Amino acid sequence: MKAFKFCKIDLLRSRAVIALTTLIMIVFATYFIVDEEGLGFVAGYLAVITVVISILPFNLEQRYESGFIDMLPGTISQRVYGRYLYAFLIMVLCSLLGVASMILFTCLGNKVEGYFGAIYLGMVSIVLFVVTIEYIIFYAVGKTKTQKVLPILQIMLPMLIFLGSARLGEYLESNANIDITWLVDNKYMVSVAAFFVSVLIFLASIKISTQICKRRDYA
Amino acid sequence: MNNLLEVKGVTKTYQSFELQNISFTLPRGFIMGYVGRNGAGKTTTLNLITRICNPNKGSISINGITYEKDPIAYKEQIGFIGDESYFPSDFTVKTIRIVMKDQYQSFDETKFNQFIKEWNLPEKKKIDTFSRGMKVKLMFACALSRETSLLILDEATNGLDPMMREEILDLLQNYIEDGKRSILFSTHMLSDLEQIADYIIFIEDGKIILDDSKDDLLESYIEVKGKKEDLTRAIEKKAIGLTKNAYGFEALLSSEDAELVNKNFVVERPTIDKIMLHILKNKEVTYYESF
Amino acid sequence: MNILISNQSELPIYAQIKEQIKEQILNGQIEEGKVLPSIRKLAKEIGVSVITTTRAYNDLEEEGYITSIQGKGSVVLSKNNEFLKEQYLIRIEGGMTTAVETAKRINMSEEELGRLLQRIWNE
Repeated sequence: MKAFKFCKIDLLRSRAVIALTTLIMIVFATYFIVDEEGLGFVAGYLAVITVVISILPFNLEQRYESGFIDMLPGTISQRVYGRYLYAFLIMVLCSLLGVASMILFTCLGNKVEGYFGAIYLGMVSIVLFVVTIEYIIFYAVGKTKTQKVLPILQIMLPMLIFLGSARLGEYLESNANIDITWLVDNKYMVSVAAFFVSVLIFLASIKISTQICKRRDYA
Repeated sequence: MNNLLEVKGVTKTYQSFELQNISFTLPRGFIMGYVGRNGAGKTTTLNLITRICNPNKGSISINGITYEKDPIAYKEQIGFIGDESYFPSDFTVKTIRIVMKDQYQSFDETKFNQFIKEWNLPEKKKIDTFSRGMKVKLMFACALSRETSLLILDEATNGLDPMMREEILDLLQNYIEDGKRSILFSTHMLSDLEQIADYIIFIEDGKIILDDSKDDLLESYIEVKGKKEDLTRAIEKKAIGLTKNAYGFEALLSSEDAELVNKNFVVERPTIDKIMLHILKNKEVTYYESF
Repeated sequence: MNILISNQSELPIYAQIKEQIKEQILNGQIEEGKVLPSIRKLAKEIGVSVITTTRAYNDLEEEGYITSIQGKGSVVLSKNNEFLKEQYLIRIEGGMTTAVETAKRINMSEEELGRLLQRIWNE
């Protein structure tokens, strides 16, 4: 599969950062778990590094590389699929690390609260959603301007999502029509639904990004 | 089919620049120089041929294959050498080899390794730390270790020492020796590659202003220098890009006007660079005079 | 075969190649029947464009010094062909004209010059 060959280039590019963050992750996770600080920290850290590593290829690629990367024999779709495949692999890897820390946590004799599974799946959905949005933005902005918008995007997007979810909470609290207890009661169903919606958006964005790239120079 | 590369009516519009209706052909087995000053549209043209950028209008085919018809076969046919290293800066020869092997069906690893060994390129050092000459060599190693039919060089000889330049001339002539492959190179200073070029295209302001074989071009002009008092009206009228200074004048004349020259003049065979310089100068003068 | 290209020369490069090959054919350095290097090989060896060497070979062929044989390449024609004979004759005539003119300048007689010629011939 040609897309995997393009995915491999992204992995080759970011392997040093992946190795480093995984190492930090393992050290931190072990510390937090042993220290009984709880899994919340680990999951939070994981969520942040997942987003950072997922967008790393956009961060690292330079316009002057066109003569090499864009000359490789492959179609635009294969390139875009490869990049999304990379994001997918990173997310799977990070999710597995999360699950591994959970197992480690219980093995040390701690009890994982019943609701944690739902929260974890909810976090995975949010990360998936953030990465999807960032991917579309990077493809829309294009290789030539990515370096300029990157710092803004890296700060703005998590902030917007943080503010947005706080607003949503306020709205839910003040609006009597929506029954929060219903959400709490059906937390598993809600998180699974959120996860599937995120996956659908992720898949749909592949098509959008491909269309954007087909019209672009230095794609 | 004798033409390896066919460019037909290609147009590309940017906010401040337009490449207008570019058409030319490059026959199989020959070397073509694409010449013009900085900003004339050389790199834009090459980027359209390599399909790093998309043309607004027109068609380009290599061996009869267009990008639209078969993007993969189209790109497989091209070997590209840029004006600066185009490798991801923290890649090494080792990583490049992995990518080349993965991506190109015709990649010949043994050949690649021969080039790496011959040119003493370090296996595990980041390409970032390579000298300019080494980077150029690595680009050549990549382009020449697979089966291509068109080699495209974008200002690739800029800033290379004479030894390296000689080596490249050799590589290029080897490439076309079997008569099946062609080379298109762009430069703003032709002297680097003038001796081996078969065809020359001048581009200025997004338009092709000359397209001829180098030998014919060299024979169609003579360069004359003389004392100011010898500059006749007739010569002044026919001169291309006439320059006068306190001690004399210098101009290009069409070879057909050679009879205007008398023995008081110094007549020389111009280089392509000189021809280009005079034509550009002439264009500017007529441009200003039209106001 | 030797070919030396000069960038300072008045002659264009194709003419330099042509003249030098011609000279070497006429003075016997390149023997008849010899196959010349291919146009592309020659271009590569002396570092000039293919069109330039093509033109030199075409001119040599037109002037009757070489002929291109399918599958073999460009071959130097035999000295017995009419054209080459004529070229040799012109050369001999040229050399003799110089000899006679020089002899006349020092009032040497025709007989004396003849004897000189005979002596040189027999050497």
